[in-house]
Amino acid sequence: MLVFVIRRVLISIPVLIASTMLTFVIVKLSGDPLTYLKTRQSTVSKAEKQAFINQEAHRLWLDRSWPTQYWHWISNILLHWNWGPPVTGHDNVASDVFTAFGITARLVLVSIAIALILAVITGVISAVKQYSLTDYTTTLLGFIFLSMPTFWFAILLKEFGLKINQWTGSHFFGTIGDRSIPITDHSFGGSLKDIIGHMILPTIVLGLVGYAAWSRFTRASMLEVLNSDYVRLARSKGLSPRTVMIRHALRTALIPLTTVTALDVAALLGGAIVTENVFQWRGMGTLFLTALRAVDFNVMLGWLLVTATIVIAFNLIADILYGVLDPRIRHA
Amino acid sequence: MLETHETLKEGTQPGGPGVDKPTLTEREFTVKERKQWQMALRRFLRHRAAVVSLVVFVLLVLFAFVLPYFWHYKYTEFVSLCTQSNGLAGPCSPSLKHPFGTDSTHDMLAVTMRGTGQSLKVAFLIAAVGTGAGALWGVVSGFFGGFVDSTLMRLADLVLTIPSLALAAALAHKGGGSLVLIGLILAGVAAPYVARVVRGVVLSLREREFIEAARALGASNTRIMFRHLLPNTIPVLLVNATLLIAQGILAETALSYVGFGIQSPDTSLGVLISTNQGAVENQPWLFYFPGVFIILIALSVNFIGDGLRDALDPRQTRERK
Amino acid sequence: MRFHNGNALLAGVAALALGLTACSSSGNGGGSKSGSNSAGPQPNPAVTAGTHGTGGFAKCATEPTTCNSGDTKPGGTISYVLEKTIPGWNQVYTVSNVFEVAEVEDGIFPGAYLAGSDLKPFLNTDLMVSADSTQAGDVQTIVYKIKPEAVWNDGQPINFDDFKYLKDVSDGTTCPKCGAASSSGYSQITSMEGSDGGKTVTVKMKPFADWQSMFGALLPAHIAQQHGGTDTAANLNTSFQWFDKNVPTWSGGPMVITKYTKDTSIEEAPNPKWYGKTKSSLDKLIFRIITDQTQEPIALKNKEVQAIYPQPNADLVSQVNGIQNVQSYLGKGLVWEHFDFNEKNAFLKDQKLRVAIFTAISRKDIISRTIGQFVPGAAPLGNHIYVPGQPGYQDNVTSTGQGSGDVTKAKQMLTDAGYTGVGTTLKTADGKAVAFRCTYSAGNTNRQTECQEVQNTLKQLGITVTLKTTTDLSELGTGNFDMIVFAWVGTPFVVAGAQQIYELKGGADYGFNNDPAAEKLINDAAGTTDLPKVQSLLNQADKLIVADGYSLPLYQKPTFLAAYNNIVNLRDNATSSGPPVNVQDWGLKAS
Repeated sequence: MLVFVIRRVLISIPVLIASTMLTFVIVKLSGDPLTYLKTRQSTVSKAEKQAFINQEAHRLWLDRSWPTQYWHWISNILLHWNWGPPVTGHDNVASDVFTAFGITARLVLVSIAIALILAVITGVISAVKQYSLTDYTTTLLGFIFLSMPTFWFAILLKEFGLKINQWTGSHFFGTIGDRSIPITDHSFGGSLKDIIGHMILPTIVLGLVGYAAWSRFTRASMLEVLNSDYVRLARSKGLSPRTVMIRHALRTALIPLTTVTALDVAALLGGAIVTENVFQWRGMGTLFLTALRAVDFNVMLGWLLVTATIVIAFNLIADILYGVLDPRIRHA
Repeated sequence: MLETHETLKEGTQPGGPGVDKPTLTEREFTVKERKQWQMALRRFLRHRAAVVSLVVFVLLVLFAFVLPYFWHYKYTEFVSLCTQSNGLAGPCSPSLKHPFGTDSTHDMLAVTMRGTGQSLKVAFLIAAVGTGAGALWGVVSGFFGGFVDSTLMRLADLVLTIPSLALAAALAHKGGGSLVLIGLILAGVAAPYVARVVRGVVLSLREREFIEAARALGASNTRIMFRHLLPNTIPVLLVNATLLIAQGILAETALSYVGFGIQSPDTSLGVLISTNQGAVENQPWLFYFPGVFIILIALSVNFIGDGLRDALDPRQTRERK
Repeated sequence: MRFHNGNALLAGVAALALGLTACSSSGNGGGSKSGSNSAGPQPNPAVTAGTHGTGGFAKCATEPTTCNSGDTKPGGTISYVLEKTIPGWNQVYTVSNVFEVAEVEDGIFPGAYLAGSDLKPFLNTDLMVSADSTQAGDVQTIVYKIKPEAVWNDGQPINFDDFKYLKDVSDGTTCPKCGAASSSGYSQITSMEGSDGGKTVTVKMKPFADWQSMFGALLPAHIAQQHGGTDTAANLNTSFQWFDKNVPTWSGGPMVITKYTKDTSIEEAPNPKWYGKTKSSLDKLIFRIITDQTQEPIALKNKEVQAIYPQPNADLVSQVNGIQNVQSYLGKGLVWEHFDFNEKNAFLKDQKLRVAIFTAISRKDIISRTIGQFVPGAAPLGNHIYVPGQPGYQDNVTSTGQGSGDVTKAKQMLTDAGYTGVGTTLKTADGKAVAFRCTYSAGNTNRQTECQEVQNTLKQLGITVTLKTTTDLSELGTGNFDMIVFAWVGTPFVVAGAQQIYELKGGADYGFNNDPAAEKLINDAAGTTDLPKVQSLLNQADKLIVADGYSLPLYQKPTFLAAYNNIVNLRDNATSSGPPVNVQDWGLKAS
């Protein structure tokens, strides 16, 4: 088992390296970082303007070849923990990305936890009581959630939160940001209320899609297992339905779900882009959008590096879990 | 009961749907053998939601691609505007003349038809290319294992390390919002996802008896992969393909929302609801009609997929009564 | 921003204009949407034109500098929305020379002249005793007298050193690497002297019509001294960059920054050392960053912010007008939309064809499908240099028939000019069918409509127009366009802008219009400090530009300010300073 894990970890390293190259090329293809200077006129002479553009290009290493730029970027991170300068401003790219990551992680983890629990419960019930009213209802709801554009739903949900605020005359639901500004109540209870009030709506939006997909998946794989020979065998041996369900069926059925969930982390980080934009959270999502619009390449590179690392880590976890849960895989 | 029995028989045949027919015909005594697709069709037809969805979906396709030839407004045409309560010219609310109302320049029904068509094109592109490529990828990888598996799966991991929305947005930023480009990008990102799931199935199938049997009978690798393994992944593929059609439309919508999707003068349902998101209170028809069409497409496709799954999965024996 | 920044844009025009227009194309999804919807209910458009609500904005159309006045009560917090993040803190530096930074720093950076809500510069009498300009032949002399009590918040006096520092970083020669946003004016200074303990500054320079644009945002030289120095070019650059890197804790204005949360908010409090007449009554002023415009009305409705200043569209206006206790005002903006031709095009180099095309285009129809849907009484723009609301504006276009939509007249003009196939397939005298592209920003539905309108209209003349999109308007620079629609951003200082846009060597004459007579008039205006004369010269030049058929102004884009009606002394300001130019006056209404 340990060998299996170590081998998987070692395999991940070249993937990460290849990933940095891929992301570098993508970022380079995404546009010219100095467009904002080139397309804007200032009241300095043409020569002065061009001189400034060249100066900026040199500062940002844009006047070097791609391999040189790549090496400069990656070696600075590895050797000096220097993630490169942003195109405009003076922020530290690494700390920007990690700060944003903290905010997004909170949103994504809570969403995953809630969505996963609900998905397994409803998925299993749907499968066990296939074609019952419960099954039809949850299936229909799941399908509707799966079929709704995220931001379309988010806008409706925001309107809903606003209505509740108006009816109750409170300011419980926040529509922008993760905290009120200025923070008026610094007590623990007040802070908690403020954080939760800002968190509920985006969590629902982000969790909904994951929930819908995972409950469908749980139902499908649960059905497959319930119809398999060995479950039938277990039943015929006279094991209690409960034992059959938990020890035999559920365990097998959840194996593919672990993979799917781990893989969906990337999708959720993507989903956070839309959710955070609607709710104006300053997490990874809005950081990426702002960076992409400005072709702020070092921020984009840093963002993609962190995302890639997370996703690779989750893939690794999926692989290992798969091995732990399904002994047949281990020997593959 | 009879059908159930038949199904069971077929389902328990080693190799499932891939098994050769002649041997079977001889064995049954009184009942005339039904072709596999006939049984599938029967099962599909019994899934009421799927049948209704199929009808809805066909209607949607007709709505998008045929109705424009009969509707007297074109999506490019300027229509005359209505006078608002404030005395200014503005969009018309739904009426007999404009069943979906108008936006500031066009007939909304014509625009919605066009948007539906474009969204369907993107979705099909993503589903077809994404599932096709992913299936091949996953089966080859899972079947051969070892070095081939490692290489192919690391490649999949590589693409999967980037959230598809971010990847598509980055690539589309300079690409100018072409429909095909965005469709291919999203398909490319979906393929490795499908590949991993398919591989997972293949890995556990690979060790099963019917594959061993096929090997023992001297079947070639290609034959095992395409006649025995691939058909057994169809249920998974179908679930994924249907999800992909829905996800494709939604991904395109999300891209449009963040500003990197299909660009005007071209349009899509995603573009329509993105541009009209501010109209939700005052001109709700601009926001709700395209939104409802997105949901209709995604919903009907999902139900069709569900029906297909019931119909095609030979290992699933519990039947709708 | 104060003036110098204005200048940067002014040339305006192009400057931010391009930035701005390009942004709106890919900006925030729906943000750039056309006026595809109507304005909300407005009880009496004839009277309230563009104003909504029961507050003090009602009079802003006629009394832009005094409307919404009122006594304030002590205390309170106002959250005002910024639409973009802060790239850096030194608004004099090219990179950070953006509208949002200027708004935040209106209460921080002191300036000699400020831009008023009436689009006119006015002397900042908190800081200045006087600023007098005299011209003798080729030498203009300006004497700035600074108030004795004017100090930075560490107690150091605001004086000659600060003026000198701004000149040194801006003139383009003392510190060529500084990258100041604007050198205009500063590069013409021949000498600067301080006297009266630094409180009097005497500037001698080549005559400069827009001299009031200079010294609009002063940096503290004594702080520059501590963080790099003010003597050599390298030291200037170091200190200039230091100002960009660090959130200002220093202030020479009514407010001081107390907290910055990256990409989220900037909190300000009254500057205890403020020397001006009005002290801010607020506890806190918050600039809240919301980068998705469509979220602004919702945040406003939920009372998470109290004032917004977005680029308006029909949806936004009607949404805001539905919010209780919020008043709004559609003001006269400095941004204006226009069609340009590329005169290098084989067909469009013919002035007669250009004029005929402009004559056939109906600006009224274009307006009714764009801003006319939410701006009551929106009218076509009649000038290439001034916009309505600016002193000097007059309509030089309408009387020529350009933009009238008179297809019959246009056809006659083409026939007279020797074109054949008028109304079917228009051909030049040597038999080539006339066809060209109309380029607009991708995703900008307003501009799409404008190009489509041209396409439909010119079909009647027999001209085939194909639509083409651009992502960042870079086609302007490369000349890869035939007809293009985009916007310029004007400023209170129009001369430098006119030089850039309408002079072949100006840098922004993207369509290669070559009109030596107009150029001469504009250059004459640039060397004059007599305002009425400048206006007269520029209008003469404008008439020539109209006759060239080079550019067709469409409409002035409105500004849109919305706020809860218990906020007083907040008013629209379309200049690059934005509404916070009088931030010390803002407050909650005393009941």
